[in-house]
Amino acid sequence: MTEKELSILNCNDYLRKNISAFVEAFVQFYGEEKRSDLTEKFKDAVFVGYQDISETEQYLNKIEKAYTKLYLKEELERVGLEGQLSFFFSDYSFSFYSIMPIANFENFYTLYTLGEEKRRDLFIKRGLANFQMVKPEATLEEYTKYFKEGSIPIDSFLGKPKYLYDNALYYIDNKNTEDEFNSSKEDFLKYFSDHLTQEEKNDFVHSEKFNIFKTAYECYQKASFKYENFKKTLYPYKKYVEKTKELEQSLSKKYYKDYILEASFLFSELERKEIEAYFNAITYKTPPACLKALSSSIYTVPITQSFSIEAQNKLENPNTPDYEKQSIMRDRVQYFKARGLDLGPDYIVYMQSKEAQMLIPTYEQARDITAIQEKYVNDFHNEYYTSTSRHKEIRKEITNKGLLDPNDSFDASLYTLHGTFVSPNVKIENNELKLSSLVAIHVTDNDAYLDHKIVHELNHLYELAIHSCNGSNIEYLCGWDVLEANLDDTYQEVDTLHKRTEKRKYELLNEVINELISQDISKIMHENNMFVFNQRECAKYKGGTSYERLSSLTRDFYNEFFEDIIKSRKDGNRDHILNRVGENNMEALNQLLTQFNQQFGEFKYYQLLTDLSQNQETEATRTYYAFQTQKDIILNHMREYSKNSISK
Amino acid sequence: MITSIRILITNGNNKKEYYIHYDKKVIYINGSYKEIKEEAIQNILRFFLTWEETNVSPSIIDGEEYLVEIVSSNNKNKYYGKGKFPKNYWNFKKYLEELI
Repeated sequence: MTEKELSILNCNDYLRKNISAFVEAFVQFYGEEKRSDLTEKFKDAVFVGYQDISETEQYLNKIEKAYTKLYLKEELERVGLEGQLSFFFSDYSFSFYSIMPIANFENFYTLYTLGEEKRRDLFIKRGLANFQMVKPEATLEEYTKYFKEGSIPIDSFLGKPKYLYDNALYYIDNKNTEDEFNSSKEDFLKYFSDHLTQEEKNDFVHSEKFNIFKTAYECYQKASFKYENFKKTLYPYKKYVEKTKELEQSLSKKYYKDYILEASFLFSELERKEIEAYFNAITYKTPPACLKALSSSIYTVPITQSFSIEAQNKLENPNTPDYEKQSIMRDRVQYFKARGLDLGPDYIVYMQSKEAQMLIPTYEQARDITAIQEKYVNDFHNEYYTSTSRHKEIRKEITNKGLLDPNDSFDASLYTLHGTFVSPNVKIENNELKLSSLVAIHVTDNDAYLDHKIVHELNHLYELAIHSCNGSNIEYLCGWDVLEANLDDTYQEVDTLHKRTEKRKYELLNEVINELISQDISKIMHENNMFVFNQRECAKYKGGTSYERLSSLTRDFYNEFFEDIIKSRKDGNRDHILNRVGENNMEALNQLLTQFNQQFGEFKYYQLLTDLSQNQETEATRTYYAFQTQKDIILNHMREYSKNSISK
Repeated sequence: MITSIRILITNGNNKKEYYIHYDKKVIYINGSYKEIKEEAIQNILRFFLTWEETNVSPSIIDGEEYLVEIVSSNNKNKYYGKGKFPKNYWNFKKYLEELI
């Protein structure tokens, strides 16, 4: 495997090993005198590079496909069949060999090369294997005798599955030996019909095309041999995926059961007993019909939601699209049927039925069932994601570091929310409180901004400082933003389904400035050919975050007060910038960003860009220029304040 | 009557696009396709029952983004969100993954 491939599959180790490359870029930006400070700060952090299991699985599939292609290409080129890859092998990996076009040739070619006699021997052996399923002691001699006679004693099959006798009748018929061969040839000719002339179809084995197919098939054999060797390197990763998926499956079943049992208050005594019997059965049992009134898995929406107040409002609202009303009505009919009341497919009939009315859940019941499901999904996430072997390994390391805040953000929400962030934390070292924060980086293979994203987070890390510590209450300054924590808090299970939406005072301005600094650092990395996860040719650092849409309001401020900004963002030195440009002016700029962000939501912003690029005068562009004017006014106030503050 | 459902999920450079052709009962995922049962389409539609048309966080301006377009014979319904998600969003994504 290439270094790039290994870097994704071992993203946590790779990230940790390469932090020093980022340090070099930071030193070039902040100055050589900051080297030890930077090194120290990064050394004390806990870096976590992660991806969720479906991403690892997808990446492994991608690698398998790439190496299949590579080995086949090499072989095809060697025999002058370059450019024929897609014709013979399509776009599949060797794991899907049976659906590759060449597999159609193999079926026919294998039987062809055997010759008639060996084909019959093979056929007899397959027949014997089937016969041994009912009579394990049967010998080849005995079975060959039956084959020659064209009949097999039926007694052996009494009480056995019928398909075994059907198979036996098939294998005992000598005619099927050659029929199998002929149909493999027909299937092949049919599959490649558009690429063969009539003459070639009539006498394919003596045509030039036959040799070409044979050569391509030999290429497959050689390539698949190389591939099998390569595949061994993937084994530990595939094993990890397999184990983790097994864990997911067993836990999702467990929590599905808990959810259904708790939501069973909806059902009758008899239905509840059926449900319990289903979950307690040791061997497979068909799910009881009433389960269809809830969900078929922990992920699917309960059907009872069609009786929620939201669903009722939609049904009564004349503006609700027809499909949505139909969908609700269909769900309600499904619900009644699941509860044992089948009055046909017509929804109106149910609405007029007294029996149906008795079964309808109340709004509260419908709401409660949805809430129960959410609770168990969250519990499932919390147990599953924190029980994978990789997560446990890192958790052990973090525990050994002795971080004081138990709510350290290394939890299940990482994998459901895919966050990339710095979570401040502290430890005691030499009787002193010391920063030891968690830096979580979500790693995906096709993220052109990955190196830049790391720079962005590392800059947050560099700018992080303990602002104050009062008993167990601690305040961190990250750039200009204040973050609070209580070290006495006990660990709280996280909500894996929702992102936080509260806003910190300087969050937007802080992030925008952090992004501008990070872009300058990433620029240094690009200029000096310093790349970690990304390849030079596809690495990017501009245009990757939405913060940049606010650059038009912050770029001048950043350029003009650069030195003060840098000085103020480190070591809890926020007052430096407030004293230089005025706290009110900073607040005004901060407010301006918030207003701009609210004014130009997603759709409006893209419309604004279109209007601006086409030099159109629209309400959006007028508002945009008003914001620019406002920004200029604030900047002038900052300049004046700055002049006065310096002269003082 | 629905004609199609388009689901676009974007997170940085990662894009996933699902397109369900209702009549053909086929789901296209980033270019490849497979058959989909009516029941599975109903399961997908059920997720949207509680979704707001737009769901955008004022403070988280980066992060995952989704767009759902349900096209029926007489109109087009859209659900859009960024940085803020409906309660059943993670189940919805998982359900889509399981389909493949």
